[in-house]
Amino acid sequence: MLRYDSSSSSAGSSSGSLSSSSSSSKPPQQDIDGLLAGAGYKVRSSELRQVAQRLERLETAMGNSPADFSQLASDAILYNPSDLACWVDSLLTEFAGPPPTCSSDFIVDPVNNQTVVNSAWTAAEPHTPQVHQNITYEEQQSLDNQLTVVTAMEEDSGIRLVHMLMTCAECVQSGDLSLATSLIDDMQGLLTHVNTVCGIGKVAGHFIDALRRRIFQGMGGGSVNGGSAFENEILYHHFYEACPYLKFAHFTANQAILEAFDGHDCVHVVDFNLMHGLQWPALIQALALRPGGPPLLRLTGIGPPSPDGRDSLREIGLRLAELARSVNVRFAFRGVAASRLEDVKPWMLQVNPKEAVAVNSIMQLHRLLGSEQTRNSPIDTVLSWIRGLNPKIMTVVEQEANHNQPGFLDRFTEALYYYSTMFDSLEACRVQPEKALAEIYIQREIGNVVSCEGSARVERHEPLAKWRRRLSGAGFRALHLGSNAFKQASMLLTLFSAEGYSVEENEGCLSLGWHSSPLIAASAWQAVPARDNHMSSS
Amino acid sequence: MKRRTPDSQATVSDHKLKKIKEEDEEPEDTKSGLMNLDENLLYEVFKHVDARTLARASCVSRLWRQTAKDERLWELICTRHWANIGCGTQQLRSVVLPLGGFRQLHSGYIWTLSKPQAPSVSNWSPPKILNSKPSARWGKDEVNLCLSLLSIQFYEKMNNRGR
Repeated sequence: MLRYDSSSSSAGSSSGSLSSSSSSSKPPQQDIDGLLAGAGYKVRSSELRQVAQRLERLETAMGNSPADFSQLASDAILYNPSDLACWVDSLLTEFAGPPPTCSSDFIVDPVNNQTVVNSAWTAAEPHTPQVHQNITYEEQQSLDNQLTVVTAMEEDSGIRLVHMLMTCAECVQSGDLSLATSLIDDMQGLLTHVNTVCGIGKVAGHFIDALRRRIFQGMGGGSVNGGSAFENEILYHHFYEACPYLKFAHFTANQAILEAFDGHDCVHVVDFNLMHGLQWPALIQALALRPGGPPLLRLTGIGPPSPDGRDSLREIGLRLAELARSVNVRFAFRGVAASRLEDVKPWMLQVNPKEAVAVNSIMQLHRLLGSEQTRNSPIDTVLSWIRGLNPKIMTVVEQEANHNQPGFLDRFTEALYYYSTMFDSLEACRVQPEKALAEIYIQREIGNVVSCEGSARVERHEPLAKWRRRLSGAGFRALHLGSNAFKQASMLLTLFSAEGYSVEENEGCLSLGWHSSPLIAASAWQAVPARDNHMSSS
Repeated sequence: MKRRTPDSQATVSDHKLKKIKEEDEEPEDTKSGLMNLDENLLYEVFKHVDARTLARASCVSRLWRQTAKDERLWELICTRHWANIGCGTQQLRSVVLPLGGFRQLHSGYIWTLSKPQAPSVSNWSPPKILNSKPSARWGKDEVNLCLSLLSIQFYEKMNNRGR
């Protein structure tokens, strides 16, 4: 079952206002609202006087009719205590009839005590009261209270959205496309009742889009990941800036590589996805400060070919070379352009047998997993040539998710949980346009997981446990990431991120997550020496 | 006589102040003794203050600003509380200066990292604020993290210039 913690996101987003209001002696109006929101209450300070009056009425009403208490227990969903105004109103109607300004939506039929209100919410039309007297319904007042109605509706609608998404995914799996299509329309309608700026509404919107694409455009879905390499790099860069996942990946991998390179004078790093090369300045700097001086560093960056005659790999290489030159590190760069990782052959990397090799894969290995588990699938081929290079270390960072199951519904459920957690964590980011572009980056991933199949579906994430089995089976042995890496990751979080992120250590591997749900996992591996007579230079 | 002194948190010892007073050629002048200091003497005084004082001192006058910007002063401030990170001074300089300098290293990262943080992270207690009484010593890890961040910032700036 999807666990959606809306209060955590609101708490996170209002923590900024909390810290700013603490500096003034008397918090102004808006800050009180912020404080209330931070405590989890969806009520405006302007409403508080009304709430107080109604609480007084409620007190007298409760005193007068003790017998009605038991009925409160059965209608739990009516009462959303965080929305103080509506909660008090709805309780009042139980006992004393509606307060004069209450909207009809909250009238409960006390005769048979049905959840009449629920159907009123979904139909979103006023419901005429059955029993009560002294009720006046002014259009303006009911409109006013529509606003307070909406906030209470949100949480309920959010849960309904999730249910509908699951049902729709089930229909897609079983092939019932007509029902799936009508569900999509219903969900689209429900989206209007939900806040789509943050929380469940936002991520649900992306999943609805992805489902729609799957149903209507077939499963080629090439358009989802069809963004140009240049676009992808920009989105990736903003994802790097907006949240700590990639920084964590880079810093953890660098720490492991640095330790593995200790004592070697010629070192060679193979980066499976160079992008803007943001991982490498820190390694170059750390090598420059090595006691005894830096080694000769070679970097081979793999990336997609760039159109229009631009050589983006070379440009990045030049910049890194310039940085290396500034800090007196002997540096050589080589770019390997390949649209798929499985097209890379080891001879392209030109590894020198005397050098210490580090292979760095940040969220690339999962792209090699096909849906069919054949003998010589791309992952096996690549892992075996990596092993042939005899690297001192292979750093692997992967999404900690199970998005490669054969059953669509299972995959969908996992993805819904995973990406809503990730979107929750992104709420803490305050910088634009980084945040918006990071969301598009994640949105593309969602699109690929949900609406693509076959060779088009490249986001085949598997959890760490599976990678452990796979890599051990391919002749690799796990290296423990030391306590330095853990400490560095924790420090990184304090510098960059809001509260809510957590680093965990798990049998020598580190994972970063949001509120104890790990979202990304880093591990380090070494090739077990082969038993044949290839001389391994250690 | 008006005397403008740096922030009260300064570690400028009384001994130093007395020395300056003695060297003051014109005690009846409205300019205070400290304002009359030449660069070299100012530099010597600044060598003993903490980061906060030095930063504030650079707001006093152009001369003070010029002197307080000196990389050697900020190098002193940065390295004062560092545990031995394994490399020599020269080696450290040859890396930090091209990547932006010690002043930037401090204002960008060391200052932020040394502020008391919310207790959101387990297994690590942040060092106390770097003040005139050096109570916390920074470990290798904190230092290396700040240096790494400096290098990334330098690289990103380089990229932005190149576009």
